[in-house]
Amino acid sequence: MKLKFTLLFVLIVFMGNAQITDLSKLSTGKYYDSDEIVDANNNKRGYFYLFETDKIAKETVTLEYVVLDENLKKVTNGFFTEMKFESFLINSKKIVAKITYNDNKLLINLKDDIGAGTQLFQRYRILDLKTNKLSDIFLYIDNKINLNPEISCDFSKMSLNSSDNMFFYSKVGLVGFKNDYDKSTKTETRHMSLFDEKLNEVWKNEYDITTKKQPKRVLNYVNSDQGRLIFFNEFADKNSVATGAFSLIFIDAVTGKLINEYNFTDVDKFTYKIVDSTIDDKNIIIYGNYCNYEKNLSFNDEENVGLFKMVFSRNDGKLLDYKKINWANNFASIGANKNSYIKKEGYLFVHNMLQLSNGKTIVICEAFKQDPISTNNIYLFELSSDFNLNQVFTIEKFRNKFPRTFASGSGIKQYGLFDFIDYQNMGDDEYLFYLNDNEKNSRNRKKSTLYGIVSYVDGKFTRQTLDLKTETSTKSILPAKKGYVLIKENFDDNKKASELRLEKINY
Amino acid sequence: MNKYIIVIALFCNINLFGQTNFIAFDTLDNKNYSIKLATEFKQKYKIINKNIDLETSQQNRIVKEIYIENQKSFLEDIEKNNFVNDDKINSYLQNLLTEILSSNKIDANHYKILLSTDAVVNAYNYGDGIIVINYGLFNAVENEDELVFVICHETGHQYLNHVKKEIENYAILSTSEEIVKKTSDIRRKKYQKATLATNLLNTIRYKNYKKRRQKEIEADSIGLYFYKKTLRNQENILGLFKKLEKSNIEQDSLTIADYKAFFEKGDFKLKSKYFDDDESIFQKYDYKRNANVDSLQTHPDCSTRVKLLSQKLDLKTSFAAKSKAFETFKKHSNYQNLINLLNNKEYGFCLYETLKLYKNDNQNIFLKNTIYQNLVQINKSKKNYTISRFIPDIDKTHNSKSLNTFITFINNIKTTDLELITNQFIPQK
Repeated sequence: MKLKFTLLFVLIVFMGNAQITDLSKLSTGKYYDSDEIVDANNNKRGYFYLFETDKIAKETVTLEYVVLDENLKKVTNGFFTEMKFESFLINSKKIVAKITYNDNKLLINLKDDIGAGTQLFQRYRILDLKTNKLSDIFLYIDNKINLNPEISCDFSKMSLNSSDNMFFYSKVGLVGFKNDYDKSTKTETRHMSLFDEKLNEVWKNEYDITTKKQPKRVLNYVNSDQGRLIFFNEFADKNSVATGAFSLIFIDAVTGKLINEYNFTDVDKFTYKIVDSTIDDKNIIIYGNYCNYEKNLSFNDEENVGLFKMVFSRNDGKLLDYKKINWANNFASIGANKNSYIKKEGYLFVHNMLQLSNGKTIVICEAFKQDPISTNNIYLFELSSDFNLNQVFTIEKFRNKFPRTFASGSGIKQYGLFDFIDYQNMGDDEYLFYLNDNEKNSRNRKKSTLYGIVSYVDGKFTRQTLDLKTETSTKSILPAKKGYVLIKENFDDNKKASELRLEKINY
Repeated sequence: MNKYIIVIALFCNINLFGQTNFIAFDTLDNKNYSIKLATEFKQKYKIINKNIDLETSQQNRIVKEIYIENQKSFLEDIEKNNFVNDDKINSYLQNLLTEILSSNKIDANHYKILLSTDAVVNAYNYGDGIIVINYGLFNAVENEDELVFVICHETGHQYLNHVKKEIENYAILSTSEEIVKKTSDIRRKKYQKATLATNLLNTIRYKNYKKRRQKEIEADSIGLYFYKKTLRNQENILGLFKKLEKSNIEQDSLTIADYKAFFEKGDFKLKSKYFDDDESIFQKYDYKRNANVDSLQTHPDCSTRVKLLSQKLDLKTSFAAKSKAFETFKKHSNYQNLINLLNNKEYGFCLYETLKLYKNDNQNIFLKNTIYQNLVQINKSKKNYTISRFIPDIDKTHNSKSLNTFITFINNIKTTDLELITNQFIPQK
């Protein structure tokens, strides 16, 4: 329909030969990879695609990138030359791209994918969305950024041709991480540096100086804004095994100086993991899940104890409030025992904990079993501002079993086997939750396959389901831009072309 | 579904459009008309496809493939009832074509003019003697002379056999020794195969599009020659191009205040968030295909065409023609286009265009009823998550801001509120 409308303004034309314009074709090249462009509020703002358009010399390819906006309209494209690893035994299958967005820029992390989950030769480029200009390639090596370096696909020179990790942190910018080992003092220094638009270092923070015998800090990004950068630290020994100690590190994002390090208490009794967080003008709120401590084990799903909410002062990073809620006693209405275990369903995996403006919290959990993996009902809890259970909304769905598999909750999440897909924050304390309700790899399901959408509006949960199999077609659905889903509909009638359309959710 | 809409449309013609004296085309017989047209063209195509006669069998095969593809597309248009079956307007258009052909002593047997229900301002030569006028063209032209020049231009394409020649040239070029050799050279290369192939393709395309632009100028030129023979007012040709040049600028728009005026009745208020669309992170849209876009335009711009035609116009010998028939069709072209959009299930676009008219004529029963019919369909499709099939997409580069606001509104409005505003437009008995 859009095509017709744009043609409205075309002048008198005559029909030529069979000119076929396939608008769905983004590039004439070979597809390599794609990634969603997601902002700090979990909203999908666009899509990035990467193609190989030509091989121009040994180990050298021309790539085309195409950027689509949130409405799937083409925004920009461009071509660049990249090395692609080739050797007698191992060839790079493709180049993969991971995209992070911050302040009108995309950080493009490129790696050679040699298969079997192995990716090499990490390098970066930045696409400026104000000008649509793509930067030259750059690597962060030896504590400095090398812009447009000469890259060699030589395994022996891997360290010279693969960048240390860099990230775009929301409202902060480009941050690089580096470990330096000093042979003379036998100490390892771990530090992070912020870089400005011209890739010059703004500040450097040495967050850890340790000998081999001392536990080292392993940082996981939690949240950030213009003034604050927050990390969850899991101390690990020389073999990178978790020691059981945890801390939260609050850094001034402008100066790079440490504001405070909060060490978790009762670490001899409990193991912690962070689920979600929010930052406002006054406070930093950290939401998480905790379990009973067991030596040398990271989070143990079978010893899950409960949820916590910590409120820190944004100003000095000091703990202001700490609340916990345990599965024991509080969640008997859903049949959960003290470790969140629900009969026939399994333990609860906590997907998200979302803060509402009235201090309430929405918690999204999914019951699962580890061996073999099975995913079961989804539970939405509304917790009061005092962190007590207000209401439970149970989403009964088809039980998914994966025979001969085993994984922890985090593993199941990582491999995308849970049925909860994602949430969208619609503003004004309204949320949409998306889930699959179809049996994966099933041969014997009688029920039709469904896509579930749960809305939370005015404190009420409401479920609706979309049938993925109609009398004439089969649909697949993905969350898209805020409030929308992307529906791909394949029709049984082969003559009818598949449809890809954005549909606004009614709620 | 289609029948249902058509029945409603007819019912409205008789009962509700009286106030406007507007009678929509009788589209009930379209099915028979379509079958008749399809039979006629299938027979014609059999003969055409049999008589392809180029130098090599490979060229014949390429031409046949393209012919079949084009013919299939045309037959699909017929099957979808895209052509108007109305004796009055069809005879009127056929008479205009006959006037052109007889003034120029061209055998009328090889030509047929069809009126498409498409609201797009457009006309085209399909080859094989078929000239198609989109009904949307009636919205753009102001007098019969302008319409006649459009038909002359398309007749020019047909007279010069542009479509047939282009297909044949394509077949000859793609099997030429030069192209075969270049293709084979590229195939033998180890590196840069795609770049070289793209460059070759772009060269062919560029030549092709350059030729197309030239053909447009040729069609203008011979079209003017045909037109002059009809002794119609030549000044109107210049007027036509001025209108076409401006046709990409939307003439009217809708503001949020307009929506409030349309739909806020009693206590019911539209929420401001219905008009909110999250600001895009993208500011510059510069996607380009792998070619120089300027070189791929098939039409020269209007000013160039006017400049070339002006040199050949003889304004003294012209007389101003008035046509009652044209005025009747033109008078209701806005309404007929709305009916066409509705019948073509373009509910969003139809509602948008109707609301723009309704803004200045809010007592008009036809417009109110058209709004109602569109809202009913939009409501239904929103509920079953198919609304995007029937409304345009948000497009920051091609749509006007007003149209994007309309689409945002239709997407964002809650179905309960949409039902409320739909009920405001239920036709009174």
